Amino acid sequence: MNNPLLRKLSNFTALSEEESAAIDECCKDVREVGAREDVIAQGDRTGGVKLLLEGFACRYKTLEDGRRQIVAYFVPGDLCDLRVFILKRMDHSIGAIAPSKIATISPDNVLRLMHTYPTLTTALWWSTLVEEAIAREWIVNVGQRNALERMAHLFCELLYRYRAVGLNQDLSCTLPLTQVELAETLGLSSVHVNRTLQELRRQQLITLNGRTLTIQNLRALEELSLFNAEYLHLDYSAEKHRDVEREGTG
Amino acid sequence: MDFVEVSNVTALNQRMRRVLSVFRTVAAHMSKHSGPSGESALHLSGRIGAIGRIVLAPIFADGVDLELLVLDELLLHAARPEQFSISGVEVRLAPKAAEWMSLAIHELATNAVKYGALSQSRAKIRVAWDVEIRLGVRILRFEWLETAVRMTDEAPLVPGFGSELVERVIARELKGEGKMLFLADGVRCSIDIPLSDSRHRHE
Repeated sequence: MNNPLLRKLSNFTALSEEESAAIDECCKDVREVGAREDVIAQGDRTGGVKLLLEGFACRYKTLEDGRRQIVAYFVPGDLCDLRVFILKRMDHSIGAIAPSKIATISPDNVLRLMHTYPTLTTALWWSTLVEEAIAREWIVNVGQRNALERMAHLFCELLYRYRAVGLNQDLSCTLPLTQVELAETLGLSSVHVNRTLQELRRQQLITLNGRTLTIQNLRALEELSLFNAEYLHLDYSAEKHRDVEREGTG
Repeated sequence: MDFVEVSNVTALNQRMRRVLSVFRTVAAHMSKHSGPSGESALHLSGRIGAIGRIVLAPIFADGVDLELLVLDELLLHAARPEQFSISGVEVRLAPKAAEWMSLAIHELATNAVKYGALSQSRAKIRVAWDVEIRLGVRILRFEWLETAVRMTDEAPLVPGFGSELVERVIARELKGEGKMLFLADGVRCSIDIPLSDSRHRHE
């Protein structure tokens, strides 16, 4: 089984075969969710921990009048909150954006993994910390950056996150989001999103081809958005980091 | 993409000089019309922010998109899409024009929050522009029109920095013409400036 969670954790540490097998064993409860379907909705009982195996999903909150803010993206290998089962009910929703495969890890299994494997536990803590660091960066994004910077920053982040699980193709990755969803993520109007995308294309920083985002000049896009990949904490493998930089300048 | 500021040092120096000139204009105004010091500090900080955003943002070699500039300034003032409309042909401003226009729009938006156009539920702002050829020169005709604003008594009796910027500074710096009118139901501001070909000039 090619589990993207294992791939992701390998950015932090090398897991033993036993640990890898233990995780795989816990990811057998898999269900498929269609595009734009909820995985779990605000107010639902929490249940097990969701792990995105394939596809693309988001965490969002909706206001009573229908306005929606997307507060996180999930790419394959991302856990939708490792400790969520401690709470009774969801205070937000998780929705698939692209058709997705989602594993549910039962609370018992999460606790058992953590009681049995200290290295694995540390790796899972790392992934939680990265998730929180991303959330902080997103607050900075909507609080301080202008539209071009917000979007450029988001695109840089996505490429790095796909890379971390080996799901990029050089400087390209999947972007299954509509402009409305981008607007709901970046706190912009759809007009503003449209205009900003046009500008990024015009400056030959990105191309969008169907659902594929290609970053034409990663270094320039990083510079534009003051992007510094350190908050993703992927630097445990220094070689890989340098590769990204080299591609960006090419 | 080609950033102006890394492409050559002369352009960078020109930019620095422009920034200093913007600060001098702001400082001159504020020393003439010093209000309560707390409020002055607040305004100064807002203006520095506005200048910083445009100056530190990379200006692409082919100029700054006017619509994005307006959208960004409105976004910063938390304007909701239903509070304004924007329409105009595609216009790319040379860096100097972008900097002054950005500051002018910042002042308009700040006033709109303060006096109603962005803080009263029925009020609306219509931002529109077109480009006209006069004697062979492309002229940007920009208008900011507020409607359905209930002007409060707090509205300034003496012309504020926004007026000075639009009516005097823009005329001087951008060789254009500006008019700021405080009408019964909101502000009407029009700015006409010649457009240089931003592709080849970074001034």
